Amino acid sequence: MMDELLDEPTADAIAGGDVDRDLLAPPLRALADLVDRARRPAEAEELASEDTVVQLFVQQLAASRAATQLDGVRRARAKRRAAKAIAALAIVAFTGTAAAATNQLPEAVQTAISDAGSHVGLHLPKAKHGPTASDDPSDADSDSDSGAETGASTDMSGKVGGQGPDATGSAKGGLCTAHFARGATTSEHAGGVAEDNLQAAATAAGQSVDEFCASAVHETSSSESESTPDQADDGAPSNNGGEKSQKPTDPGPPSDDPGASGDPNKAKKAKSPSTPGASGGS
Amino acid sequence: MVDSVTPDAGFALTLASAQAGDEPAIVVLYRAYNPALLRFFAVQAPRVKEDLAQEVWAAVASSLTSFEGDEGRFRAWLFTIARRRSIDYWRLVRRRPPEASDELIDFAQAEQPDDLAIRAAVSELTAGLTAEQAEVVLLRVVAGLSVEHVAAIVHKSPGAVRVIQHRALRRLAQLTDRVVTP
Repeated sequence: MMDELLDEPTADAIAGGDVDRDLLAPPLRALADLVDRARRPAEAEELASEDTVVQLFVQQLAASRAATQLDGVRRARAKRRAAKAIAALAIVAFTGTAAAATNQLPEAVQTAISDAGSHVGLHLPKAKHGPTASDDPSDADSDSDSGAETGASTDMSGKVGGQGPDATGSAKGGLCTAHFARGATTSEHAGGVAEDNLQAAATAAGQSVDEFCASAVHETSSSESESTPDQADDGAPSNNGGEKSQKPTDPGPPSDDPGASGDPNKAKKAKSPSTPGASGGS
Repeated sequence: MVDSVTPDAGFALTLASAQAGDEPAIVVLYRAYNPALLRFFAVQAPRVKEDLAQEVWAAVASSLTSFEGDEGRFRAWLFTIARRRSIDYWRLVRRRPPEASDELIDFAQAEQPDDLAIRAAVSELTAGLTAEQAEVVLLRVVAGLSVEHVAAIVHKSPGAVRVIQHRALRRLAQLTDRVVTP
């Protein structure tokens, strides 16, 4: 019977207090009364803790608001710090890239940035080697492909772009020694700019290069004989100054073997690429 | 009996004032909702009903500034906290949580029998119901929540809540009919 009287919508209306009692069957009116009693307005006892709870509430709310404001300040500070850090990073990145692009960074940094940039498709120049770069043999080896050879050899060969040494000046002796050392078997342009300068100086003097250099070698021979006997051409100490003094005066026939010049360093350097089998067997 | 303060009309204004720390507005909220909280806890955790009600208000205070919504949402939020506090309490004392179903609530063995008329009515309202039914009736009748809000709080569908509510009231009607017509 109760199932027929109390369907789901009626139950929902009673529970929600939204029901017309006059329309309810008598058994359901008692239920509606019970619901009403459970929803009666507050009794005084139910508000007995008002002062305590409200004070607690106010304090808790104030603490919460303070914490929220503090969080806001911290967040603002964090944002400002982050913005500064990002700006600094951007400046460093920009200036670093610009410096790297113009090859103005220290060698190690330049190389590192260049390598790093190559991974992301950014082409930055490799480090330029200064005169001190020749202190490290590995540097010279690594840069041999680029033609950026080190020290005097660059000037002597003239392979690197530039004016080359002045064949009429103090470099005349060295250029001529190199000319004879290269000999007839070398190609015309083996000496590069240096050889060209030598040729130009000889032409200006109305002589062939050999004639021009013959006098130069005599001049060098006479000047070297005045130098310290213990000092060789490359600055290495020598036990036989007399033997050393003979070398410039008689350079000997042009030869492919640089060792004929008596310079062991040059011999080692030249032999390796030309006769790999010989060096490997020794 | 104290006149109930219902902030329905100016709830938004009352809430904004309370969020700003206005004490009279906080008093309005307390008077409007604390009785329902106490009646809810009188069934769910009678021994500690006052303490749990205070905990609810403390939790509300700590998050009130970020609350947004109408009166219905505020009421639902309040009783969501209340229900969690009740569950936590029962977990703490290693007692069977009141949300578990299939067991009748025996108010004859209640920890602290309540002689207050209003709470006697609440006790009568939930007597003979399963814990699940009692919880739904408390939230619908005592807390004054909509079916949708109750469904959200007890993690059931509105339809399931209506079914539970229907069975609970049918049971109550049978009990009251027996009382009325012995």
